[in-house]
Amino acid sequence: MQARAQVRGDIATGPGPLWFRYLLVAIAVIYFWGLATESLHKLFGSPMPEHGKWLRPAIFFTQASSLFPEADVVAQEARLEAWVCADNAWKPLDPRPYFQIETDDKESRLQRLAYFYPRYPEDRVVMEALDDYIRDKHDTGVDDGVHGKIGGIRLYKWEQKIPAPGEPALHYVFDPFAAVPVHERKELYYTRMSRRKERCGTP
Amino acid sequence: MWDALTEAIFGPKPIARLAIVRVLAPLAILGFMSHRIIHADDWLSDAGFRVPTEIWDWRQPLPIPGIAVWAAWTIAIAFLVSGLATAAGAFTRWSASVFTAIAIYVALADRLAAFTVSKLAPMIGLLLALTPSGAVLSIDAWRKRKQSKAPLPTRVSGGCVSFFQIFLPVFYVSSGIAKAKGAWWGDDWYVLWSHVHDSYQTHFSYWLAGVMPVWMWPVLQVTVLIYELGSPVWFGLKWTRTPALVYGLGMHLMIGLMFGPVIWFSVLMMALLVAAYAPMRWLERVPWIRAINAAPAASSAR
Repeated sequence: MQARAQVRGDIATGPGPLWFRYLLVAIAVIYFWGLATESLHKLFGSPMPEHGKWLRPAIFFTQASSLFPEADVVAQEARLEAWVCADNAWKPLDPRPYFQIETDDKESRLQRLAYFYPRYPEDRVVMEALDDYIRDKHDTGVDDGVHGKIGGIRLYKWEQKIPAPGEPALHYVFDPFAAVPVHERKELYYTRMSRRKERCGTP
Repeated sequence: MWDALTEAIFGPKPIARLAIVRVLAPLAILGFMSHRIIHADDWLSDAGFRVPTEIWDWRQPLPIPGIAVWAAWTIAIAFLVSGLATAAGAFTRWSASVFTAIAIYVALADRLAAFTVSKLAPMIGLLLALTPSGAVLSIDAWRKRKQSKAPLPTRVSGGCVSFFQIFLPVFYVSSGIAKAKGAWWGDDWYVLWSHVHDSYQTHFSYWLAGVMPVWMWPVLQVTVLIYELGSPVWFGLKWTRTPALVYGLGMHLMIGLMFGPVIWFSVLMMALLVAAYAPMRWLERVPWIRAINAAPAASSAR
């Protein structure tokens, strides 16, 4: 490969000696293998092996091709509510000042947070971090549609049933204050009442 | 047979294909990252929400704590500048290396904002850094021409282009298998229909859901499966390559139009498709690309 490049003057080559470029070819083959591995496990029904923690970052970059493999049954949207101390009630809270990237769609970091967490008992630490983050930032006076001191948060998913083919399509509009039917709510986390009372200073 | 295979992979190829990846791919990646870059403090710093670092599992492959706000803005600006410099071919090896390093960091630092483009960006940046991608159509080439009258290369050692030509079918067939083993084949003929109702919905997809005959959804679904599962064949055979390219471009155009923010993934894939598989006679309609191949030695660069 290098010999040919040296002979043909109009050919640009990559850096380094021949062995280095063979090494790059080997890395490329490993990358392609990694890209296909997840699907091959699905194809042959074999379980994905558990990898050590330190291998996860490298594997993460190869897990890129399983795009939209399943049908959605419901359209999901994560919603936040704040416990307003003065009213002793939950009020819808606009998450956009807290999660500013792609605010109106499911690439919002809040939507992703509600997709990944909470799944396991140890995820409570993530929800409590969210609780602290929202309260701390709310106290700085951000415009989130909720006024006054808050004692905690409630995170839930709005699950709207997707219509059958041929029925009128759902028209998605992001509105964090729109009313959500009770039967379409799936609760993910709420600040315990004792904590809310403690923070609000109510008996 | 072996010789033919190695020649097909490693034999010289038009350097214009590599230059197209260098110009378009970083721009598509930056397009995807733009909303993150303009909110760098929310994205990377401890001023935004951070998943606690004690969570270290498949959802957070490397727990990286938030950084100071000034550091987040510095990284975001460096990412933008290195991406633009790579696209322009300015100090390409260095700019693409910086771009790659930051792409790796941001993908791992904030899993919540990382998607397919985030995962592909380091691979593309690394390839641009390790190949002579800045040798033509670039500021580097312009500087080189000012220093010497030596002709610029018209071709590149084949592996540099073959990587992308192999990557696409591998990606597609892998995606096709995941779909077929998921719900796309037999379980649910309306997977596509189901995906146009959530927050990815665009005006176009909402309109399409209202006017497209119901039977078209499974038809589209099956053609996507055939395209993806058969992509090694479609792109491997000379006579199916161009139709596959046209279908692939159409498919990604539809994805971009129908699924809001996914448009940057579509633009990236379309750029790779054009660079890897567009016939040179099409590419040479662009004057800059025609100029690269105007050199006499380029007559065999097809």
